Amino acid sequence: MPTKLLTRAEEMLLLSVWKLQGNAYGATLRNHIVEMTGEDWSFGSIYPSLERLARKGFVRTYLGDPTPERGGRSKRYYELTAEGVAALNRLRDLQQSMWTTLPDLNLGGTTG
Amino acid sequence: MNQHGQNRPPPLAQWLAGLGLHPIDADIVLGDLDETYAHLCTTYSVREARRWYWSQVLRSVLGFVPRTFTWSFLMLKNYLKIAFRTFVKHKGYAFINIFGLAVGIACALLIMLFIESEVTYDRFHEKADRVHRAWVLEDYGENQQHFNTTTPVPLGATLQANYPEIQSITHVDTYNNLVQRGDIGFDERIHIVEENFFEVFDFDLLRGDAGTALSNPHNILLTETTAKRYFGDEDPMNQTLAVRLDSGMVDFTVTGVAADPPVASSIQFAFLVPYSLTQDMYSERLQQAWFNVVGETYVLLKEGVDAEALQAKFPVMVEQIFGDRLEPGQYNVGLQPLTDIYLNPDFPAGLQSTSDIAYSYILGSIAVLVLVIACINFISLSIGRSTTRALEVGVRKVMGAQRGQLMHQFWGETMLMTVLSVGVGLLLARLALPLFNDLAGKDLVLGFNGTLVLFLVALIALVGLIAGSYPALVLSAFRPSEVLKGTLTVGSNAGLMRRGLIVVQFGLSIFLIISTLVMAEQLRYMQTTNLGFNKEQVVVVQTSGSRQEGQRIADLYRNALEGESAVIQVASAAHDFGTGGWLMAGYNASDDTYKRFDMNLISPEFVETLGMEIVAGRNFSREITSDINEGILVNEALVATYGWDDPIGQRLPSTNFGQHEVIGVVKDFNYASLRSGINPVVMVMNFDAIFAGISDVNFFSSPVPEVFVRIQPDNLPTTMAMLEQKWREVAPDLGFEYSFLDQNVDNQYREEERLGQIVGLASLLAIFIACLGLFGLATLTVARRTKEIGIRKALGASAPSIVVLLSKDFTLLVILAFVLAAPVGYAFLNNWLADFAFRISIGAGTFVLAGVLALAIAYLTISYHSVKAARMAPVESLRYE
Repeated sequence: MPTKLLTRAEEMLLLSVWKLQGNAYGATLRNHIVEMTGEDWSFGSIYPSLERLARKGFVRTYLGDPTPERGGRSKRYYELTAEGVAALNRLRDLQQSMWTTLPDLNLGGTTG
Repeated sequence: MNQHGQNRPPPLAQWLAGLGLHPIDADIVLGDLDETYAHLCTTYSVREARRWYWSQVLRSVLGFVPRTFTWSFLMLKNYLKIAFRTFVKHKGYAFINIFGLAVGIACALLIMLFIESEVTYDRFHEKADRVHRAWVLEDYGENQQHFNTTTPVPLGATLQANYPEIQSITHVDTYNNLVQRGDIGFDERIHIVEENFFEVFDFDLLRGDAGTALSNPHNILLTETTAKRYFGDEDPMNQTLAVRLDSGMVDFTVTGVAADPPVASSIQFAFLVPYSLTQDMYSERLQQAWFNVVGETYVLLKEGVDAEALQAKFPVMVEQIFGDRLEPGQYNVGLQPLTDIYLNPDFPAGLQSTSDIAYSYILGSIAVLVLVIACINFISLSIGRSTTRALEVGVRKVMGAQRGQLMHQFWGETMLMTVLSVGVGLLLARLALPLFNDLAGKDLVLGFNGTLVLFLVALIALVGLIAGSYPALVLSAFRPSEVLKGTLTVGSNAGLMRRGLIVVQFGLSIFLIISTLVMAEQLRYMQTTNLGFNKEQVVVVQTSGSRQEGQRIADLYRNALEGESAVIQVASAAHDFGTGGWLMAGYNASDDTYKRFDMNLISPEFVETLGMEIVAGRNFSREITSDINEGILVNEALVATYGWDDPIGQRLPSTNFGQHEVIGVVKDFNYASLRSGINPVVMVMNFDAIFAGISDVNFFSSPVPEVFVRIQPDNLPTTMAMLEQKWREVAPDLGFEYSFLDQNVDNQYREEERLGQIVGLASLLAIFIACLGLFGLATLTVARRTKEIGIRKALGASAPSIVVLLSKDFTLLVILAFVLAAPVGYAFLNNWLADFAFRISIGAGTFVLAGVLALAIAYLTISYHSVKAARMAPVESLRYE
């Protein structure tokens, strides 16, 4: 089991997959991220990252049926695996522990 | 939502997105893009959607493409590892292959640099393609043609006046005379240029102002090197240099310093003086004359003017000038492009030195030959390795490798080797560059060069492709079952092809060897054959000034050297040997034919000092006064041409000559390069009588006299010191400029010498590479026949017989190569020798030597293996499995 932390992009992708469970494929995932971040992510960064995540075992992927809306092309769906959830939780725990009991810097940010 | 046919995304972008993707993946991606596109079409506008689509595709292309290469990349690591291990395991083979190709590449690189340099001469001028040099061709039929690239003085102004297509005219002339600073002076070549010189040509002026530097007739400009020579580190601006003109030493002011003309410029100068000087220098007559040529006329055409079209108009102008005096076609004026001057041997040399495009062709061919040999090697060895790789192929296929992957692997390996070879080749070229520059007489630099990079990339692609094709295509097709069972037979085609390659390699090498031998022999012949005079032990000292002034100094010097024990004899003459030629003269004989001869002005001691032989009559004598003005010496060739039975007392057949008679005949001697035959020669002590009758004169070298001093062979340093000291006594303000006659004569063949050296070097390289190939191949062949050898030995064959057995194969190949190369070599060299009036005949001995040499080298190469194999104990070889 790789112990490297998830990158920001990977984290966001995984969370999006989680959120859109059942309807998570390229277009929707990208759309979701664009809505949330406001950045116009390119497909060219999404697919390779998803593939890496699949290789690491955090998501699994399956082909869907072709639909007429897509000009008769099929979709590739992604869904989280248990390892994926675990990885997300690991990261979250780590973040939370790093964010606790931070001293007051008098710079105006909230602590705790 | 997206309906069929409505609002399709831009097809070009779609295609781009799908590039490099697996079909299924492409589908998915395009589908996603489609969806989003449709959504945008409705939410925003079609235009927005299209814009977004393009932006997405362009940003994503990089992201998409590596997807397919990711897997390849992972495999690449493995391939590299295997390739590296293969190299290490078979260090010898890898080394031979890489080094052989590297040598070929280095050779090709250097030659490419040379050719590039030759071909781009004079192109650095911004207006280079609009600049032309005028030429004049007078054709009076029968033998009487005068083709000159120096031009009559009035031509420039006349051209400019008649043709608005001409933007400007500029003259360039040269003048040899004494330049002095303080006490020390040297005979220098000074260029005379007009004020617009720097407008037409792009020579950098480092100091001084281009507009005014040449405004005063007594201004002078120096190049950087010249300034350093005369002024050291001082600032030369506004200093004084004295130059000898007809009127005497005149002070010139330095008004500018120019950068040294680049090597790739056919116009090379050290001094520049204004053209306005020629008002005084050229006589009135010369300034109007249309039948005397002096200096070059350069024409700068306006933009868009077609030189050929303009040239076609010139006959009109010519007719205007000459009217009825000449018939059409007798006087022709034309334009030669500036960029053509350096390499075109069909035009006579003007004031610049020229080269010959033939050298570039020859060197180019050699480069191609050597490179071909090296590539053949590479390919042949790769093929040879194939049998040993077969096992690996079988195993890989069993482990699931696809044919495509194997192809990638082998091609990748070959590419890697090629790239390595190129790297080593570059290194070798860098190392060899100084030697090559020496050989080629140039100053080439191996820098970053667009053409170079292109060439290397093309080379890698080509060689890698071809060399890799056999293993990639053939090897990858092997069936694992056959390989692993050992029933695989490598096509006998492979063996045949390998042998064919060896034959080609050795054939080319033999051709080069023969060429080298013949060229060397011709060169040696030219340098040692009896020239009809003795060129050894003669010091040639240069005088300066006008002809009379020079002669005066020469006479003084001769007297000063009298009585010196080291000096055998002293003479003087207007023209030296090996410096361009003697004066060429032509005249109309009384029988209305046009006759030519070459002429020199000599002192009476000349014949003796140079060891020439008088075959009839006598030499000049100072005692006999009529000798000086009326006596002429001729050579046997002249006597033969005029058909004189008794030459003594004869006159040249024209009434225009002054009083003269032949007093002696000299045995023919080669006063010029052995490329040319011996023309009729006239030698006089005084020009006047003969000059009166000549209609055309051509000076190839300055007529300022040289002193010829024949010295004793021993104690050279002392003798030279004495000569210099005596010179200073006689000509204190003139530098002691000397050379050795034998060197001057040999210098004529400098080009041939260089060519011979280069060809020799090329043959060494070719042989080296061919031997590398042979060595590698022998390794494989011997390895394959190890069992056979073991059995033979066990049955009682002696070691020598094994060696013979192994050598027999290769012997046939080399002989075949010889049979093919010899006739080609003969034809080619015969052609080359035809250029020389005095030449060797190609003897059978040369061919035999070349053949024997090739065989010997081949044997030597394979001896290592054959001897080792022959001496190996049979038990070892039979155990080998």
